[in-house]
Amino acid sequence: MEWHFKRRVVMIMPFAIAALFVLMKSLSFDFFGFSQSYLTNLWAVIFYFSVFNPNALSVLKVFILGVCADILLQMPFGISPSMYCFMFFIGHFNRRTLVHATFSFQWVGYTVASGFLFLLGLILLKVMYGAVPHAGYLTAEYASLVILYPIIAAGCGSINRLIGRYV
Amino acid sequence: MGNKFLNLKQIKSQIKKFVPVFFVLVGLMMFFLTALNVPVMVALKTKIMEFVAPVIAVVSYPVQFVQDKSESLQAYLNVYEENKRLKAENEVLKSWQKMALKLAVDQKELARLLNYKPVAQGREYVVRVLADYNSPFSQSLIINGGENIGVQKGDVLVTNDGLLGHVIEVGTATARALKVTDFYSRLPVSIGTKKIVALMSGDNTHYPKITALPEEAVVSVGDYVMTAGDAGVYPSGIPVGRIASVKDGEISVDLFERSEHLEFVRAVDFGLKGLLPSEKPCAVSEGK
Repeated sequence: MEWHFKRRVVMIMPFAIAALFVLMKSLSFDFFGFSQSYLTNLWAVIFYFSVFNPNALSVLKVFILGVCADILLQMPFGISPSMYCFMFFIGHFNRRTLVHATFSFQWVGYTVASGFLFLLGLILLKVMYGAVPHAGYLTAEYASLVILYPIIAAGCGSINRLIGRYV
Repeated sequence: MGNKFLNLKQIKSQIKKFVPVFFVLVGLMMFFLTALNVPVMVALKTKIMEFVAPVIAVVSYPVQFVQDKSESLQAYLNVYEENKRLKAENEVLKSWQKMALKLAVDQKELARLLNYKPVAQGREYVVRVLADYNSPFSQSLIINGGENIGVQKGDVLVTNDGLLGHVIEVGTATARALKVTDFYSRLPVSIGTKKIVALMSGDNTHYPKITALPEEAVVSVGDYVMTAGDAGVYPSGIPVGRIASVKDGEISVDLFERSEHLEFVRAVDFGLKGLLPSEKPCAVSEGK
């Protein structure tokens, strides 16, 4: 009974952390001028689990997270679910290659995938809404997406190992 | 038979691989339908907002606590500079206070002479801000109050500093308000002592632009900007900001309301139906 409960808690952790990231991002909060939104790197979480454990963070959960993110982050409705699911698809499709690759290779793969999706999102927003954020914001956002990947991946790795014990 | 079974399994696994593509397409469809302003998408957004709002309310408490502590620490570190600034400000405010007291007496006397009856100020309530994420694509906020406390479309949001925006979507327990800085915000304003009427257009920055200014109008840096009361969305005379710069025909406004982290705001129902018709009768017009 206790084992089953623990298993359930552990299995829900990736989604809970991703949901917490979305919530944290929505709360306008900074510490000495450094916004917490840069730390809440949801793309990295999605990419990691799509490669290493797609069952723990399924595409449906990713889609739900995207919908919530759009509402809370005041983004045009539908952009985040499509981008997040696209990220999931890229990771999932290249699973076999990435799962056995070195960490540097995974990082490069993530950098390329997130860069591509970042640009795609911007093009969609430019075409449909005519609004593009200023360069400083975009640079900081993308840099944080890439630079923080090892930290996020390490955290996700710990959770994944924990999940492994209960599967 | 075995091979056939294997093939089916393989096909199933291949299909499974492309399930995310289906979700990508659903997301894109939602995006395009929203861009085309399909009403179903607005209703869907409001419903989801209702569902998510209680969770944000809970999470925001510890975050607010850390934020407050961080601000107190920053204030403590800047106490010397802050004290110097406050002393200087206090001197200026004292002279303004004297002038205000004198004007209040004059105004009271003039009102008595003219037998002036003050206009109703509107019903107002304080609401908690659930999400105030200044996205580069949209400048809006979600407030913790909807039909349950009588929030209606078109209610004006103000803070102690000035105008913030107005309510555009109302759910059962939450509502979404569009800030005056939003790209789609168009606000009729009157500028300076000559009360030149123009439009203030948001551009998703802290400095909205003045547009539709009469050709002969002269605007200077520092001129006060207030709501003009046209179009029936905002009443006239709500302080908005000051003219920040006039360069190459581009006039930008420095808003009075520039809070980075809003916790509470005042929502005021002035009874103006304006561009956003409300489903329910307005409180002021009913004489409440």
